[in-house]
Amino acid sequence: MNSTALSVDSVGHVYGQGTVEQFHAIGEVSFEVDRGEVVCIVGPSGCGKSTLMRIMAGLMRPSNGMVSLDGHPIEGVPADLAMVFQDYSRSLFPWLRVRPNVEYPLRHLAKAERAQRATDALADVGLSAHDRKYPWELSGGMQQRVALARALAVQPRILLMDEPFASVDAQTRSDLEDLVLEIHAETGITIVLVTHDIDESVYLADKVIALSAQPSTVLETIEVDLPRPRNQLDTKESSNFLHYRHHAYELLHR
Amino acid sequence: MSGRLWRAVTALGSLTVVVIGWQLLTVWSESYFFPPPSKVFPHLWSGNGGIAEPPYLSSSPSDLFLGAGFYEDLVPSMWRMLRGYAMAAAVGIGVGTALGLSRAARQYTDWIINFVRAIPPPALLGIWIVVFGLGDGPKIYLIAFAVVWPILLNTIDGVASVDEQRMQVAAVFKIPFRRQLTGLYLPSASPKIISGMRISLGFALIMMIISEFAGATNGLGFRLKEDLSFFNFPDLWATMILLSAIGLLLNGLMFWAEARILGWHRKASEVSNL
Repeated sequence: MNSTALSVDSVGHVYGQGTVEQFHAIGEVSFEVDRGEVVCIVGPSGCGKSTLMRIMAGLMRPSNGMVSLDGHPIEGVPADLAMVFQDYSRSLFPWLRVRPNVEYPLRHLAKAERAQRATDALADVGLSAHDRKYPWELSGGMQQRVALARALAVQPRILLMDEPFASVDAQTRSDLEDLVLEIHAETGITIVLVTHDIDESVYLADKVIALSAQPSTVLETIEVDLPRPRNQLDTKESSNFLHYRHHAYELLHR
Repeated sequence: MSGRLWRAVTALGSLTVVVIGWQLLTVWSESYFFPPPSKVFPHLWSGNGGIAEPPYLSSSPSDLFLGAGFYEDLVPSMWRMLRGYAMAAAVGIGVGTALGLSRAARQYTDWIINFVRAIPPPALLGIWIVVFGLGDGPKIYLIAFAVVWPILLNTIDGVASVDEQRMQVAAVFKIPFRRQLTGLYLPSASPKIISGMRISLGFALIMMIISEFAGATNGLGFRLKEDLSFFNFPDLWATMILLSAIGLLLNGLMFWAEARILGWHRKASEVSNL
């Protein structure tokens, strides 16, 4: 359980290096994600969280430092990695129904296998009954479930989530948080989730990486020792939860 | 009465009034150039026995009500137009996609496209015939040249403006380039491509007529020119009515195709702005 899945080593990033508009997004960030862990990266708006996520996904290269997955440096998007983006309406394909959206990354598989995986993934996110609808016929929370199903269907070993619940209402948000915990408990998948919500990060994570404003650095890595399974009432009312929340809040609002 | 039926009734009513007005006005004026519809419409079936203007329709069910003019003029015209249009669509979408994908290619070609596009295609008709000769080929190329621009420009725009995040989705899920093209770029650009094709379709009808004004021995454009030189005005107006019907039909077909291909887009735009 304690082997390292993802390692972020002294990563820094400057946009438009050497130009007048040069923007120092990430100062120097290092942390490790163990296999099967849920790690939340929390920080103020514009602290380079999304940049960091893109670097971890292999979508862009950092100006400095290195990210490796299972000991291999990331150059381009690694296999066994999937991602859920913040804006579901722009990440799903509106010209495809829900099922083909989920099957879209699975074209390399045989048809039966593809269908089975999509069926399973849609069942996991509770959308089995909606597979013939178009994404835009669904509510925001359901659309994000489709995006989650699409990511799960590729059976990744690591799942990156970029502020996945930032655009849904509070009720839906806590439902989706519990869904992530459920899926994590079932599959043991490694999850790295970026958020600006302190409660969310403590509620979900084994480890919270608190980032400073840009150019961001790691303020502290908080090991969250709360028992699983967690739930919205008992966990969030426990004194330990409040302690972690308090600590993270103080860190980020200093 | 339902709204749809009421619309049909009002449309039919106003059409009747227009035709009656047309009849009264032309009978009253006795103008040679404007024969009354009572003379124009029968022309669609009977012709006037001349060689140059066989009727488009027939009263015989065994001919499927189609006259010699249908096969000798209408079909060749439509066939030229269709081939020119198809060529324009193939080139427009193909080249447009390539240019849409590459910012550098767009920068190099942008001014060239705008320069060539600015030439009014009918201005090329004469030199076109001198260079390419008579026959169907040059006419088809002229139609294609004239109508390719809206398709090309809209495809470039559509492909170039594919949502950044959807491109990242394709990258994260390691979608091969060819499938990104068919599964992401083209569907995403399809609303713009099809709106370009709609504009081009109307334009293709115009260019079909113009291309047949010179160096043609059949076709609707040829008929119009011949009718004018032989002062055969009933046939001229009959052809005009036929052209209007063709325009309506093409528009209807386009509407139908659009609803089928872009159903998702229309409905999705109603719930959110994509």
